[in-house]
Amino acid sequence: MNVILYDTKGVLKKYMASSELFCNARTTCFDADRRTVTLLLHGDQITIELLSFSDNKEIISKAANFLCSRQLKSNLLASNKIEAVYTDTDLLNALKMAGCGGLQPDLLLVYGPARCHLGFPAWRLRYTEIMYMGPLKSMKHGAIVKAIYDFSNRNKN
Amino acid sequence: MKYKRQNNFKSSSNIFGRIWFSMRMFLFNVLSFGPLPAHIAFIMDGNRRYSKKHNSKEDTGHNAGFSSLISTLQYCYELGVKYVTVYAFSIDNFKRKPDEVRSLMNLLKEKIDELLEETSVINKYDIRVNFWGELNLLTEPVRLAAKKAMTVTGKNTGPVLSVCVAYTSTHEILHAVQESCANVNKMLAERYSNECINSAEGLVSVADLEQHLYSGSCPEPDIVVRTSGETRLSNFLLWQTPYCHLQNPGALWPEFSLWHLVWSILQYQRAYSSLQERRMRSKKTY
Repeated sequence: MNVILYDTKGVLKKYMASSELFCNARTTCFDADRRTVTLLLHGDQITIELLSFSDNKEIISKAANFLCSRQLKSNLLASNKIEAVYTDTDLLNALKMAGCGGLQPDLLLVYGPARCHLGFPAWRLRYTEIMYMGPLKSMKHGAIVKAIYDFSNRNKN
Repeated sequence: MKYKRQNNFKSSSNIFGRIWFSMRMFLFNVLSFGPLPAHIAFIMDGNRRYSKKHNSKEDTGHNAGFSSLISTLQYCYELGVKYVTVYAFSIDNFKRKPDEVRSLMNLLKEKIDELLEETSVINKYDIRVNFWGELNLLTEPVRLAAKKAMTVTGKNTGPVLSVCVAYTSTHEILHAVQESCANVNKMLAERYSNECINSAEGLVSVADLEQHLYSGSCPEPDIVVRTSGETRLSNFLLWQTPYCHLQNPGALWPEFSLWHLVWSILQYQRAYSSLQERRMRSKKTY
C-alpha cells in the first residue's frame, strides 16, 4: 500500500527522521533523500511518501529546466537546431528525475478549515477523488474507514 | 462591479420578468455584503445522465446543459463575477464513441455561433470569450468558429468567459513547459556556451511557466464547482487551484440553478477567511 502525507510547509518531512514510528531500524527503510519510507507494520508493507508545497510548481519548473538543458545540449551537438516537441512521458520522466514523479493517489482525504487541495502536486492529482474530512483536530479512525468504504462503493458502481 | 443591470431590467419583456429580475438584484445585493468571488470555474458534469434520467436522446442533455450555462453566466455577471471558466470538452473525451464525438463537435459549432448572435448574452454583457486548449485537435469548423469568436470579442471590455475545449491541465502545463523552453532556446541561440548549458538551474522559472499557461491573463479561480456530486477535478485547472474552494453539488449540470449558485457563494463566503489566510501565508513563504 502507498500512502502520501502532504502538508504545505513541509513540517512532516522536517520531523520525519526523529519520529518514533520511523526510527525502528528493523522495520523501516528510508530512501536516499529521506522523503519516502517503507514500513513493515503487522506483516504489511506500507510506503509513506512525504510531500509539501515545494513539490508542486517548483518541481515542475525543475523538470522544465532539465528538459530545456537537455535540448540545448543536443542542439549544441547537432548541426541543425531542432525545436523539441515534448510529450507527457518526457515530462513525467523529468518529474521523476526531479524527485516527484510517483504514483497518482486514488483518494485524497483533505483535513483543514475548507475544501481545497492546498497545492498538492498537480501532476498527481488528475483523477484523484478528493474528500473533505473537516478540521485536522477532528480526525478519527472511523471517519477514515467510512471514507475508504464510500470510495470503494463508488468505484464498484 | 455589476454588469449592465439597467439594460437587463429594460429588456425583461413582461411584468413577471421584471419582478424576477428585481428579486435577483435584491438577493445579489444581500450576497454582496460578504466577499464575492472574482473568478468561478465550472465542470459541467451530468448532461448525459440528465438525458438518461428523462429517457431522451443525449442531445437533449447537452442542449439543456447549454441553456443552464447561459443562465448561470447571466447570474454570475449580474452578481459581478468578472471571470467564468467552463470545462466543455476534455482531450480524454475524444476517446468516446466517434458518433458521440462528431455530435458534440457539431453541437459546439452550433453553440459558438449562437453565442455570437446579436441578442446573445455575449453581446448583452460585452463579454470577451477565450478558448483554452489544443484547438488543433478540434474539427476545422469548430476551430474556425472558436477563432472567430475570440477575434470578434477580443476588444470587449466586460467580463471574461473562458471555455476549455480539447483541454487537460497536464496538457496545459506541458504546453507551458514547451513554450518556456522554446523562449529560452531563442534567447540563448546566439549567446549559449557550455557554461550556460551545464547549469540547468534558472532557465525556466515558475513565473515563466505561469506566463505561458492558457490562463496566464486571468486570476486564479476562487471557486471550482463540479456538478453531479463527483469529487474529482478530472485534470482541470490543477495548477491554478491550490487555494480555491472546491465544491461538488449533487445536481446535474442542466439542473444547476440560481439557488445552487447562491448556495455556492454562501459556502465560499464561509470558507473565505481561512482560504485567504492560507493564500497570504503562501505568498510570504514562496
